[in-house]
This record gives sequence, C-alpha cells and structure tokens, in this order.
Amino acid sequence: MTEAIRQDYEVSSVGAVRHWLVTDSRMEDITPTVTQPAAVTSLLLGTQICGTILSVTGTQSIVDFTSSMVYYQEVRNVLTYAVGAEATWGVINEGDPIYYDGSGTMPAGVKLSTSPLDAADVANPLFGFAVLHNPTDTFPKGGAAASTTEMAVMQRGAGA
Amino acid sequence: MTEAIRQDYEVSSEGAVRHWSVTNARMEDATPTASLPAAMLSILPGTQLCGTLLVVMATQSIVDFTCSMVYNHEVINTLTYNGGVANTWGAINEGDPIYYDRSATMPAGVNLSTSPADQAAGANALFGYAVLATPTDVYPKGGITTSTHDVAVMQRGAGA
Repeated sequence: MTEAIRQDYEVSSVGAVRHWLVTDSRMEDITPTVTQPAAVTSLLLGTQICGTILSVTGTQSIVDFTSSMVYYQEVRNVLTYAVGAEATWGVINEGDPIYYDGSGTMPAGVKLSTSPLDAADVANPLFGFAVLHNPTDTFPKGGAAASTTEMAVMQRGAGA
Repeated sequence: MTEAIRQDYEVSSEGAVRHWSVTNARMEDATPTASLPAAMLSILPGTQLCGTLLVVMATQSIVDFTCSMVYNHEVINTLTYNGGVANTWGAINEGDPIYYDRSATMPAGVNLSTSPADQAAGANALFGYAVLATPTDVYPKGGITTSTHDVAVMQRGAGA
C-alpha cells in the first residue's frame, strides 16, 4: 500500500460532541439502560472507552462519548477489595477519579466506584472525575463506611 | 514568578474542534500525507499527541486534534513484537484501543496497529478506539494471521 491521500477518511461530523452507535454485545453490560454509564469491552483491561447511554435499541445503543460532558451518576465509595469483597471505603472529594467498576459486589444499577481495581484485582477504566453539580453542591460525600452517592461526574469519554 | 492570575492564558478560541498547525519536522512522519494519522514527536515515547492530517504544506501541516472525531484509518492487527518483528496478531474488535505504531515493519502507508509497544519495545501512543463506521459495520476484523483493515477510529486527539 502506498502512502496516498484517502478519499473516504472522514466518518463523523465535525464537532466535539460525539454520540455514537455501539453494539450491545460489545458492552461490559450487555443489557444497557438509558442514562447509565457504559464501557465498551477491550482487548486490554483498564483501557475500555466509557460514556453515558443515551438511547437503547434492539442490538445497538447510542452512547455519548463526549469528553468533559457532565452527567449525574451513582457512585460507590469503595476504595479497595480483598478476597473478592469490598474491604475499605472513603469519602469522595471533588476532583477524585471515578472508575467504571464491573465487580459483582456492586449494588444493582451502580457501575461507578472510586476503586482503580475491581473485586478480581483487575484494572478498572477511568470513567471521569467528581465535580460540582452547581455552586451550592458540597463535597466530600460519604465516609469510612460503605455508601452510594449521586454526584456530578465529568466523563473522560474518548479523551482517554 | 508568583502564583497570580494570568492575563494572557487563553491561546486557542473556544470550542472543542481543534485544527492546528504543526511543524512537519516535529512529526513522527516528517513527510506527512493528508487524511492519514499523525503523531507529534515527544520527549517521552508513548505520550505523543495524535490526530489526523487535514492539509499538508511545505514546512507545516494542519492536523485535526479534535477529541472523539471519527476517521477511517488503516489498522494492522499486530498485537506484539519479538526480536524486532511482528510476532502475534489478533482480531480487532469494536472498542479495542488503537495505537500509533512507528515500527519499521509496518506496511507502507499504515501508521496504526493494535500493539501497545513497538518493535523496539518502546511504548506506542494511544491513538483512539475502534468503533462502528455505520450501523451495518461488522466486527471482529481480521484474525490470528497478519492483516490490515479499514477501521473507523474515534481518535483521542488532545484529550490525553
């Protein structure tokens, strides 16, 4: 193949807001739910591209992969796991990294935590960062005991 | 210098679409071709800023560094190198990370692979992720033998 100018290289429209189709069977959660966090499976664990589900259809879903988009998400305050179970928890502060956590110990409907590793000691992908929802939002959230808190998360999207 | 508010900190205009001039000599491929992937040289291999070439001029080129922009690119399915040559190959799946690979063993005109390390065991820069080009696009692409495929890649751009 020679190094030549391609005639059909542009696929998406211009603009940094990116809503894109994803095959449901290629998602970490193959039965996705609108408004929930999404992660697309990857050959290298911890590198999954993440976003927020906007629309679920038959076999494909539309995910918002826009970098820096802020959505409200439920976040578990688990910090570490030991022998497959949650071991330590902590407060969630503004600016803390938030991970997509597929651990079986996560509460139903909750996909995000503050743990960089899952229950099997495998790397969780970085989903985004805890941010203020509005000027009157308050941090820290949670404490040294297990809790799940709704918070604004600035997603990394395709800006991994 | 004291830690003070700067009066001249904003360089680019607002908006997340970013087309920017780059010195050709500061690119991994100093003889760039419009529509192909680009990577700037970096002090630290693996951290190169990547994008897609829009316009090539005599000494500078315009590169689209927009995070989450999707372009069709040629991707070789190399997974690992050994002794300076491609060693293992695998299917490219939707969601897999795609790297800018400078290895001399890459086919002419192909700059992207699925290998996180190049033939010299240096880190490859993450370029983006394999995504659907259209709702009828089909994955996986390729298999356990070497092959190169036209893949829609959602680029990381400046969202590193």
